Amino acid sequence: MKSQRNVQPADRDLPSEKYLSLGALPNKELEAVMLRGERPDPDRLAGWEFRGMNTPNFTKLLGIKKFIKGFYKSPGGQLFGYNIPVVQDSTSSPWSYKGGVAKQFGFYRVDPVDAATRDNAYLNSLLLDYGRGGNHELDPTSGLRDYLVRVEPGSDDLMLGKAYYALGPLRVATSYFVLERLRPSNFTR
Amino acid sequence: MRRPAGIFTRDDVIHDVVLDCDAIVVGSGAGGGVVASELAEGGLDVIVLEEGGYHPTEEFAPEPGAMTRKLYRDGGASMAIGTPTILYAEGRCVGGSTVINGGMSWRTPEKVLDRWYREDHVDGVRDGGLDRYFERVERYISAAHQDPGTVGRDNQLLRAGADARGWKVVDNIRDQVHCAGTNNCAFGCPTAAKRSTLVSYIPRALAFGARVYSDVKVERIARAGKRIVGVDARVVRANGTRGPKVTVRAPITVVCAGAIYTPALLMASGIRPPSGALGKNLTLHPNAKVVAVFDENVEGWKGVHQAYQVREFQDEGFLMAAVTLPPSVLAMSLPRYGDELHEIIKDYNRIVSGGILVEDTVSGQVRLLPGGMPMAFYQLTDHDAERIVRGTALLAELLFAAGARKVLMPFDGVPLLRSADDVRRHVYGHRIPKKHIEVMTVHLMGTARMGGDPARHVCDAHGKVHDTEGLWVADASLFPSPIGVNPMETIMALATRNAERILDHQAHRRAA
Repeated sequence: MKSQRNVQPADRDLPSEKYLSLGALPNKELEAVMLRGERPDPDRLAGWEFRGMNTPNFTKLLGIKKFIKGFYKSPGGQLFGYNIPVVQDSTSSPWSYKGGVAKQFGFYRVDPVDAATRDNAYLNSLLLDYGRGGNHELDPTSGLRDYLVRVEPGSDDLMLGKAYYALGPLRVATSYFVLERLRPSNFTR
Repeated sequence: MRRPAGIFTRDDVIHDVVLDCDAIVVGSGAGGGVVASELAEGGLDVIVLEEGGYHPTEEFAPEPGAMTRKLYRDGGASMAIGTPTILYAEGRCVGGSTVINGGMSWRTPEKVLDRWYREDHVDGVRDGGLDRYFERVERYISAAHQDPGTVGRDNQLLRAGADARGWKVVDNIRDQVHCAGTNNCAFGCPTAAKRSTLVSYIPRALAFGARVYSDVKVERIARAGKRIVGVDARVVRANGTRGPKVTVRAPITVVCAGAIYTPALLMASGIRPPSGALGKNLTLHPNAKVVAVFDENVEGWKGVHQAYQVREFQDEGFLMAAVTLPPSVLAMSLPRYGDELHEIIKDYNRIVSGGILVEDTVSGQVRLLPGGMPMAFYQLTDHDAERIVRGTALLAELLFAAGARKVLMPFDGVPLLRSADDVRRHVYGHRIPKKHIEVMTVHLMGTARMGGDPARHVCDAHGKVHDTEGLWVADASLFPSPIGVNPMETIMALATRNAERILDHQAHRRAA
């Protein structure tokens, strides 16, 4: 693993102002951030969990506004990741594991986007491919395809994502989400 | 016809062919010729595909009809739709528009480069950042002032008028070696003194192993997802119909087909950069022409094409020059008919034809018509129309100051002017509707604009098309804004810079 000297963890309990401001941007501006963003460095994601927030308000009604995403490397060195459900309280409150324990689900494989494949919406991003994450084939999360970019050049502490759902060859955009570095994790699978 | 090794024409491709190489260059003019040469020199196996024919210097002659059919797209009579409709001309031959332009070789004004940096995040271009590219280009095209004794009387009168008014005049720098002043630039230089890419960069590309396929029109850029894998092209038969297929596969494609056909090819290939700006931002330096008749025998066809530029009003966004046209072309472009046209043309030997070039403030767009034909749409603004009127009026005053007896303005409904007082009476004193202005151009720019923001620009600052892999642009389509001077050297410098980036990119790929 590369040095994480430049990684600056956010406040462990509360989201930063920058994070909340980003999450409040209209979709048009979020789209511009997606287009302008750099591809994150996979080595600086591995071994960390990030607080996640879906931007559309309807996700609050569905109980998926807040979540945690984590990243780990397989023994072979391939980057993978997972989600953890969290308590759906105010976004100004800390991100707490639902039920007080971390329950990983919705696994995904992480790779730079390959221009020649179907999932190539943002060539400047990392693709979080739930179809290759080792989920059960009937698991509905298997259809998710997330793209992830840096918000600020050179920094992987704050990232913007865009989620799609795969329906056969079709890809349906579902939401933007923001991630902020939260805490180290030693999860492996 | 004898051809250099490496040049192929329709006569060589009589069956469908499939070719492989490292890099495909679409077009062979100021952008394509340069990129092909630089990439070939950098060690890549390059194939140039040029829709037009290969016509060596020996074929060039002062025969406007035959030459426009050979060397120009649509015989030089393409049109941008709007008010007024604007006639434009593009080269379509090996060497592209550099074969038929005046050869003016001006660096991009520093204020323009500064604006590109500030407003469009085009990095590395200001504070002399492009100087080494300009120097390299100037060396290969032999950019220089004219030899003494080659300036014709028409240009001497332009200079005399400017001097009489106290206006700033500059000697043109042109891509020429001992130009003899045969004034046939627009129909191919018959002495090869003008260093178009046909006789400069293309031979250099061939020497480094490039192959040039003329009479081959690229119809589609082939891709796998967003990765470009080559192009699908067709031989253009002598009668214009589609001939055998030419399929070329390469990891790099550089499109240099000009500001109309570059976006058209990308659109036809289903390439949609996320900015939505492809085909938009068309600017074209509107030109308008003033014809002055003198008492003396001017014989404007003797002497170099455009020896000088009047730069007094550059800050207002327009330049002036003297451009002699052959009688048939001049007659076709004058806003007069019948006896009135005869009144002007009978004095052809005593005519000085001057023009202004306006740095426009508005943009049009290129769209694909059903069937895949591109069409340019452009609406002249009131502000630019006013500058055309003011610029041509000032040019008329200059020509009267040089001794002109009568001046024909490029406006329907304005009588033949016989004095500087007439300029004030019939031009300044009237509002001239835009539809009454005769406008044409040879500078088309901006339809795949470059810049650092994929949300606003089609290409990055080095011509790579945003949101694609392996696709680059290197022509005037890249300009984020008009530049206010002749664009050839800017295109060439950017093409050199883009080629350098492509080679770096390729080196990194190979290392990885």
